[in-house]
This record gives sequence, C-alpha cells and structure tokens, in this order.
Amino acid sequence: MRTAGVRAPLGRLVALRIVLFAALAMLAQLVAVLVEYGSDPEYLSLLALEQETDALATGLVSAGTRLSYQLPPDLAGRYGTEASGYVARVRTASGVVLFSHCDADCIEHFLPLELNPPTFWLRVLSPGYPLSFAGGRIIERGDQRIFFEIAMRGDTQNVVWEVLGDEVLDHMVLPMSLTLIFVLGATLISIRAALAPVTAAAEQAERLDPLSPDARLEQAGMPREIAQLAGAVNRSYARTRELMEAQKLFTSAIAHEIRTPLAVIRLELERIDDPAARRTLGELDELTHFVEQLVTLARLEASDRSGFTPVALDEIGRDMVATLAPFVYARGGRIAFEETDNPGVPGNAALLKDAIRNLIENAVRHGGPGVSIVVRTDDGPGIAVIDDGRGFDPAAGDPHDAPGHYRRAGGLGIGLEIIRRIAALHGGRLEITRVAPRGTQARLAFAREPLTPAR
Amino acid sequence: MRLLLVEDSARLRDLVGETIRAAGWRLDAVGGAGEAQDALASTHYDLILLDLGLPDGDGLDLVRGLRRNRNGTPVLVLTARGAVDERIAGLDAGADDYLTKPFNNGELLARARALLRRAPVSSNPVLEAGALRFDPATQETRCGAEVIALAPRERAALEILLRNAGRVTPKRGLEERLSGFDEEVSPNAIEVVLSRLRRRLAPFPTRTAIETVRGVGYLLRETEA
Repeated sequence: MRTAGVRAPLGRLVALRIVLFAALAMLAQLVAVLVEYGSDPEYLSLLALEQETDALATGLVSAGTRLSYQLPPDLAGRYGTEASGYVARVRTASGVVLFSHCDADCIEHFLPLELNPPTFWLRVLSPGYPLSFAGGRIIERGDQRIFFEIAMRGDTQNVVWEVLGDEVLDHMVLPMSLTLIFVLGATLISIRAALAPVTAAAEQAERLDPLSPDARLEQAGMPREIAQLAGAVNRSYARTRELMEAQKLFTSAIAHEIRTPLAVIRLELERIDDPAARRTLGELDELTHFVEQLVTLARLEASDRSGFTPVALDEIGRDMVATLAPFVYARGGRIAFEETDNPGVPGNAALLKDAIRNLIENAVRHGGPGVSIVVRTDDGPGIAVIDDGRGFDPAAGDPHDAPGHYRRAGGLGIGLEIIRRIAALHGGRLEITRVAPRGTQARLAFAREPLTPAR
Repeated sequence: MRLLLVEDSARLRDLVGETIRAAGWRLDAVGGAGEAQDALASTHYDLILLDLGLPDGDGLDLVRGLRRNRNGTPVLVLTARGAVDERIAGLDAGADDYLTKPFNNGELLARARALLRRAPVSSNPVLEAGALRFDPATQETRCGAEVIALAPRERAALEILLRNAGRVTPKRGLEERLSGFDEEVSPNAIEVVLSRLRRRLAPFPTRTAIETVRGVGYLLRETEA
C-alpha cells in the first residue's frame, strides 16, 4: 500500500546520497591534485617525459633479433610533423638511430650519439608553464636497451593535461570508484538486512486485527531501534483495545443503567390517566428503542466472522415475526411470514435477528397505521421485510421525525446504519426499494460465495 | 398464588408490587440474591420475578441453583440486558420467560399469568384474557357472566391460545394438540376451526382478538375496546 507523501525506498535514498557525497569528495580531491601538481612543473615535466616515452615505445617492432621502429599514428601530429615544437629520437645504446624527428633542438639538447646513454635524464629548458624540457630514458625490450629522447618547447599540444588526466584516472578515479562500489554494495545489503524485520513486521501488522486480544508484533529478532517502533505499535494496539473495551463497557453500562429507570418511569406513567402521560409514553418508547440500538451497536463492535455458524434464514424470519407480532398488532398493523426452501448463510444469528427486528420496527413506525408487513426469504440468498405503508426515503429522512427528539437523533439513521453494518459483516448489503404503488422493500442480500473466516 | 420479586431497584419493587397485588396475588419483594435464597428456603412460591443484575450476584446463578435442586418454580426474568443472545443464555440457564426492561404493566401481568397457567395441571387455574374466561376443569367458556357454547375442537383451540395469550402460538403446535381428535387434521382444518371460533366469539364483547400471523401461527391478544 502506497501512502501519499511517502518517500522512495530507503536503499535508493541512501545510495543516491552516497553517490552524491562520493562525487563531492572526488571534486575536492581533483582540486587538490591540480593544485599540488600544478605547483610543481618540474615533476610534471618528469611525468610528461615518462608518458611520452612510454607512448613512443609502443612503436618498437621486433622481428627476431632485429629491431625496427614505426611511429604510432596517434603521435604523428607531434613527432611526424615539422615545427610542431616536439622533437624525438630513438636509438640503441650503441648509437644506431631507429627513429628521428629532429631539428636544431636535437643537436642543442640531446645527448651525443656516441655517448652511452644514462638510464634517465631530464633538463628543464625554461621553468614554469608552458612546459619546456628535454630528457631521455632507457626502455628495455628483451635484452635490448632502447634510448628514447624527447624535447618539447612550449607544449603546444597540451601534453600536460594528458599527464594530469592520466594521473587523476590512475590515482584517484579508479581507486575511489572501486571503493564506492564496495561501500554502496555493503550499505545496500546492510539496509536490506536491517529492514527485513521492518518489512516483515509491516506485513504482520497489515494482517493483524488490532482488536483481537493477541494482536502484537513479535519483537524478538529485531534490531533495537526497530523493536522500539514495534513496541510503540504494540502499545498503541493495547491502547486501542482498552478504548474499545471501555466503549463496549460504556455502551453496555448505559443500556443497563438506563433500562431500570426507564422501567420505573414507564410504570409510573402508566398510572397517570392523562393525555400528556400517554404522549410521554410514546417518547419513552423512542428512547427505549434508541437504547436497544446502542446495545446492538456494542454487540456489533464485539463481533467478527470467527464466531459465525450456519444460520437458517427461515428460522430467523419466523422467530422474529412471532416475537414481534404482538407489538405489530398492538400498533394496528399486520405481519406475515413467507418461507422458501430455507436458505442458509454463515452468520451470527443474534445480529441477523437484530437486523430483522430493526427492519420490522422501522416498517411499523414508518408504514403508518394499518400497515401490512411481510417477511420473506429467498434463494438469493436473502431475507426481505416488505411493507405496504407510505414508505420512507432513507436519503431525505422523515419529516414526521421532527418532534421526536430521539428519533431524529438516532432512530432511523442509526437503525439503518446498524443494519448496513450487520449486512456488511455478513458479506452482504441492505437494498431498499420502493414497492408500487406504495410501500417499501428492505432486503438483506447475502453473498453466494462462502465467506472467508477473516474479519 | 404467591410470587417472589427479586429486584434491586426499590422504586421498581414498589411499582411492580402494586401491579401484582392489584391483580390479586400475594407478593414478597427482596433486593438481592442472598435474601432471595433465604426467602426460597422458607416459602413455596408459584412464580419468581427475577432481575439479573443484582448487587450481590448474577440472577442467572440463582436460576441454575434452583434447577440443580430440582425446583421447578417458573422464573420470569426481568432484565436490562435485552440482547437476543443474552435472552437465550437466560432460557438456557432454566428461566421460563424473559421480559426486557422497560416493560408495561399489561405485558408483565400477561407473561406472569401465562407462566402461572403452565403450573401443574392439578391447580388448573381459570384462564383469562380480556373479558374472556375459560375453566380447564369444567371446560366452560364465559364472556363476563355469559356462557359461550363451543364445539370440543374450538374449546381445545381456545385453551391453547389462552395459555399463550399475548404470544404467537405456532401453527404446528396447534396441529399437534388438535390431532387427538378423530378426524385427520389438515392445515386447512385449523383455519376452519379458528374461523368458526372467531365467529362464535364475535357477538360477545370479549376485548380480545385472534389474529392469524400467516406463515407462523396465531395470536390471541387483548384489545383496547
């Protein structure tokens, strides 16, 4: 389940941050390298000499014991072009010249051919930038010692940048990238491992019914910080249960504590022979009805599908018609029951009876005097309460409710809500349709499929 | 007839007491389970009116105790716990009927009468509803002072309806009770018997009505007029 405002997975957030900080670190390192190398042009000249001679050395071709030299094409711009500002000479120790790209600089700066060359030499021609130097070094190829000499004046082709680039790549980017890969991998694996119990706990919490008495997240095996979170969740579960218990107790206590005084008031009122007392009795009935609905609500809140048993709808219907018939006839109405072949649903019989009782009471209240009520089961499966009264519009409410304080506060509205919730608990719904020419059918429609035992 | 009322609300004790005494019965009223035990140990009662939420114990335990001791005194539970399943629990514990608070005087007397009628046949109390009286011993039916002539099946049907006055008598139950007579009893025959019974009672101001609750049974109820 994705919630608005929730950020990307933790792994991605951390990975992005590590990459960002690594890039910043590299930038800082780069600046440091440039400053350090840039302040030492002589060292850069040395590096340039090494790099250029290494590059030139790739042009050596050996055929058996014979050596020849072919200038690598990528160096042709420097050492194959006249007046490029770069000169080079390749020779053996004994003075045989294999390659020469020379001008006056060679004669001026290179060591004489007859001289047995040293392993390495370098002379700075002018200090600072651009680089100007001459130098040479011996590169061994098999048992041959080849002497490479170069000189550059002014570094017109920016060899210095190539040198710097290679340095940065070799000594900075490669090792740092390797480190970055290992750090990232290790971090992601750690995060995954650390979050596994969180994910498991979240899945567990998703399945938990917070109202069930054993609803708690298992804290064993969790890292301490996550165990703290789970502990907080468990405490909030416990608090929710306490509140629900308190509410159930409250509802049941209200019903219980109010009923005895109601009984006293009713018996007292019955002794008073006065129209006002009769009217007040009507109000008292409404209050009593409301208290009954509170009790039903409390029971509904305490119910889940785990307590469902097979319920025969015909029995529910017949029982409630028999129970309420004295009430219906006393109010001037009539009631009948029409059975089918006893459809059954898994359910809570007490709640289903409450729902049918509410529907019958509604039909009596809103059907008007002389209302004729039929309770009918069907193979839907379903059970319907049909009246031929003036009907009521559940959306508009009932204008006749206006003087009845309790009716308006909780009568029809809370009654229908209770029935809807009972239907929903049973995987069904309440369908209210008008019956031509007048009257209403209220039907509890159940699902054909068996219900899962979960809530 | 002597009744025991167990109810912790003193005001309700007074009001119910007045109603019961006005009906011509003797009544002892107590406020707790302990007093009720004492009263039951020393006196024989024909009916117990019992509140479930007592300060010193659960009324249902009192009923269970009675039934364990093979005391068959009818118990009418008066309770503030009105839920259907709690009613079933009450009946399971051995209570005979159940009246949810608040109730009215008429209801209380009708239920109490119904339970007293179920008492052992030897006592054979006269059955009453409205102005209608039926004496099981003599099989005589009266409306006020006038005697109403009824055929045997009509009398049998009236007796059953009167024993269940104010409540629906299942059609099946009526069929079983009337099948003792020679002829085969079809569901239709019950209708015929009852419509004849209604016709016989119609000329008299019985202040009762026999209603057909189609699909369930019949209801004999008292009417206002």
